[in-house]
Amino acid sequence: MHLRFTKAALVAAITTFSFTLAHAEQFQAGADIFNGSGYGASYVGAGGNTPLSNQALGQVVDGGNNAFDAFGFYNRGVGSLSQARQVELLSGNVYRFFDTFTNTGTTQVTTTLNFFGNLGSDGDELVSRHGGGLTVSCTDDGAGSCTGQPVLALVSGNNGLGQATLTPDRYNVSFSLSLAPGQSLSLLNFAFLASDVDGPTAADQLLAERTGLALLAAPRLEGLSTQQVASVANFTISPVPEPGTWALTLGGLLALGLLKRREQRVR
Amino acid sequence: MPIRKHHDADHCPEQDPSTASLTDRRSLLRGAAGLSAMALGSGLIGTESAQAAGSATTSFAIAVLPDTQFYSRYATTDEGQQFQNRYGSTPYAAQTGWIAQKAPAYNIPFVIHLGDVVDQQNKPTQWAVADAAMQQLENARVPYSMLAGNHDVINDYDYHQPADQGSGTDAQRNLAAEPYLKWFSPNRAARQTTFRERDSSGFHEFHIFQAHGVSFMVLSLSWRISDAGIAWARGVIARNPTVPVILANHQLLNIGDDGISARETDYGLMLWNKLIRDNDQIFMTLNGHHHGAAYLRKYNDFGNEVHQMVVDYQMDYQGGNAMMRLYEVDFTNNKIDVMSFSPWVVQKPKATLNAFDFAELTQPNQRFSFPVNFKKRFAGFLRFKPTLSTTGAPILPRVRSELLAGYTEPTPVVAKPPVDSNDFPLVADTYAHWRAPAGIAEGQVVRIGEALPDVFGGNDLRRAALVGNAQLGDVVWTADKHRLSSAAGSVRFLNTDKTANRLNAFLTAMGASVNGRSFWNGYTVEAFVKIPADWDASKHRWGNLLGRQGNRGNVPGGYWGGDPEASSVLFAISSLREVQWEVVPASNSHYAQTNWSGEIIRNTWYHVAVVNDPATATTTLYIEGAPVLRNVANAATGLRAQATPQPWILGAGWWDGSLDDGYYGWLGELRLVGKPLPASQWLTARRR
Repeated sequence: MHLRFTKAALVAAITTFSFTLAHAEQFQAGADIFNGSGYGASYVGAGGNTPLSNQALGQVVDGGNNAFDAFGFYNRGVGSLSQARQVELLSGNVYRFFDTFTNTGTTQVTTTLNFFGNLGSDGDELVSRHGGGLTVSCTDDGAGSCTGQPVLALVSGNNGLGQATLTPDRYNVSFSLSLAPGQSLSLLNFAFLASDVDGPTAADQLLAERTGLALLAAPRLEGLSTQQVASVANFTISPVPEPGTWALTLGGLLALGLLKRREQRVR
Repeated sequence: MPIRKHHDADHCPEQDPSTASLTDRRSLLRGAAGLSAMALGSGLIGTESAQAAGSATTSFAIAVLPDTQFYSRYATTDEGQQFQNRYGSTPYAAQTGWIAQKAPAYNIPFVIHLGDVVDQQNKPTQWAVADAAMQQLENARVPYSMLAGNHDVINDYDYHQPADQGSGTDAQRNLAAEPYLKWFSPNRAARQTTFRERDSSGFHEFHIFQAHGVSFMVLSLSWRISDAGIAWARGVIARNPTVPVILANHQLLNIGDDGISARETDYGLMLWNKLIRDNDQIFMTLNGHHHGAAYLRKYNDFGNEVHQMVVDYQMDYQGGNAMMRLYEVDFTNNKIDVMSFSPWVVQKPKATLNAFDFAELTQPNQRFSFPVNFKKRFAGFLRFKPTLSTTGAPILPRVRSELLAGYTEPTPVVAKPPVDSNDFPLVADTYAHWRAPAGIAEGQVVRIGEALPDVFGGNDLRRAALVGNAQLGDVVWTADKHRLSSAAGSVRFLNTDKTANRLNAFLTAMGASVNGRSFWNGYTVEAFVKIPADWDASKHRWGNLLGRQGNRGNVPGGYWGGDPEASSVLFAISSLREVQWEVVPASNSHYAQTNWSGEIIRNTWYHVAVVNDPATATTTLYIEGAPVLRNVANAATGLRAQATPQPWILGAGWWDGSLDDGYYGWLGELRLVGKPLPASQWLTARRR
């Protein structure tokens, strides 16, 4: 089983980033969100699974370049809670999973929900960052570089409620909750995919990490109501960023890349 | 070989093995959502498959034996050794003999039995047949797994709800009394090289075999497993955390009314929730018990496929005609190919073959292929690195080629349809021949008292007065009939529903000469029957085509058997859609004797003939001219009438003084002849 955690890969990414950024064209993640009968760019509806075949509603199947086998559904702990899902492919190759759980019963429900992803790397994960609500991973080519599937930035929250683990082929985030009768709360998860159109490059690792960090600091909330945002339990959310914030973030990334490039040249 | 596409991928596997292209995960999962993988333009996954050198194929085959219960039963002396007498060989031994001989050449490392080893667990002779058959595998050192089906255990209680785990499971059995544990004991199982362990009850076992450097577990769970047994099974998987698991059960999936769609059972769902869904190592399940064949691709808690298959041939011709399966697990092409075939049919004497004999079944639910990207599927627990073959060739095409070499499918006998309404053999000793009259109008209601004429002896049947919730419109004339029936049509019974006390019948008149007939010289009883597409066991089971008034417990000579309130003639369609012929013989009325057919298909006309021959002491049931299994050995002679003649009943049965068990469907001609007749004199033959 191959599950490699490495900083060297990230260093290599920084080195290569300056040379690839200028001509890199990002691939387009797929509108591969399962809605029960087909696939699209979003799913809004109940949680759970289809009858008989038991496929999870709102999961992402593939995502482009076989990034995922089956990603983004709760496979444990839902029990008697009702679940409403709003899963979307946002601009910039970001999948957002917004799930609201409600205790419709008459007694307190204490449970640990598990947000699950079956990764396209099939056990050959190369992990460049893991912790603090952000996991950055790609498929290892056996020599410490990314190959095949896109680099993933998986974001599970910034307040410690979500506890993410990565084992071969599998991404799990556990959320321990206790809901009073009638109480609702929401959980927000993100998956960002970074890949050149010709496959993942080292620079994509850096892009994934930076984008993941940006999502941790300022989760993308566009399209969600004030009420929905207020219900999010796994992020401490700063005042809603202005629409231009993301453009500034990306601009900052570009600037960072150029700075790194200069540093390399100076050295 | 035709290319087949299946758009309902939840139920149907992929296309024909020989044309199967490799599909990526996206296509597979999308296919499961109702889209064809082929239509989406599936991508190759060659880089992820086990690429062997050149064109070599890295594969192996698992042999599967579905329910063998009737092979075990009807090969016994108790049942007259019916296979041996007709064919000089037996189906169960033919299956295991073929595997024992072919396992090395076809790379068969393991055999799985799906339970119902015997039909009657309390009959040692049936166990002895199974014992001898399985010994052939042991002698050839081909390992196998066994499990007990519901027919193999003393108490056969079904599962419907969680509370049922408190009764009828392995935990509630008197283990010392269970014959399965004597005949297929843990010690015997332990002689298999692949055997690892049985649970404390002794009913469940697991094996690990290797193929091309990859270990596979076969977890074989007897019917019905207790919670403790499930805990043992979970522990076994946990103790072998890197081994892919094939789960064998007697019951798990069921089959829909269309004969191909998978349906889940309460027991299967219990197993899914308690064992399968959160054990990613279980990638394939196999079960028998439910008659037919179906496939279901289901997804576990990890979003991975679990390929579930049910197969059971017991209700087919000759109790299954030795049909068995090979599953070729193909690492090179990332797929599993399935072949359903009979090694026995090809060795039967040619003169015995008929239209019901098939060397291979080729319907989409019998011959199919489904993709499995083994590296991807096992990635959560195993780093998949098979040892690649440099010389291997696909197995199933070789099996097919060698099986069919020198074998010729029997040429169907083309029966001539009648040229007119009198185009049937007239035979002496006909006691009654009831058939729809000329001039009937399609859908015309049969009036109360209207005759279904006896064209031979004047013993007309007349529609009986309405009883219970029956309505006048429940019985109609129709021109629909079997293609070989020379009658004008048939009579159709509509709206029968035993849950609503609704049935209809025809009766002979009091004093009709046929009422007192006892058939002392044997008999031939023929009928043309068809049950509708919406035939439902809950409403229509045990519906009688023919009966006689009077409790069989009152027949002269002293009836000692069960259900003395029933009629002395039960000619019915059972809850499992078998034709039942159960009669009190004339020569020995102490006990009824029963013939059974296999399962009949809805919306299909059948000619049924039952021939009782005193010269051979046999009663043989023929369906569409073919002698079925499950006949009576050492048959007594004839049918016994009541001391006081009683009317015959058509369309319903009899229970303790009342009409009962109404028939639902079409009834064409029905003829009673007081002697055995050859096929050349049946209603399907033509007059000379």
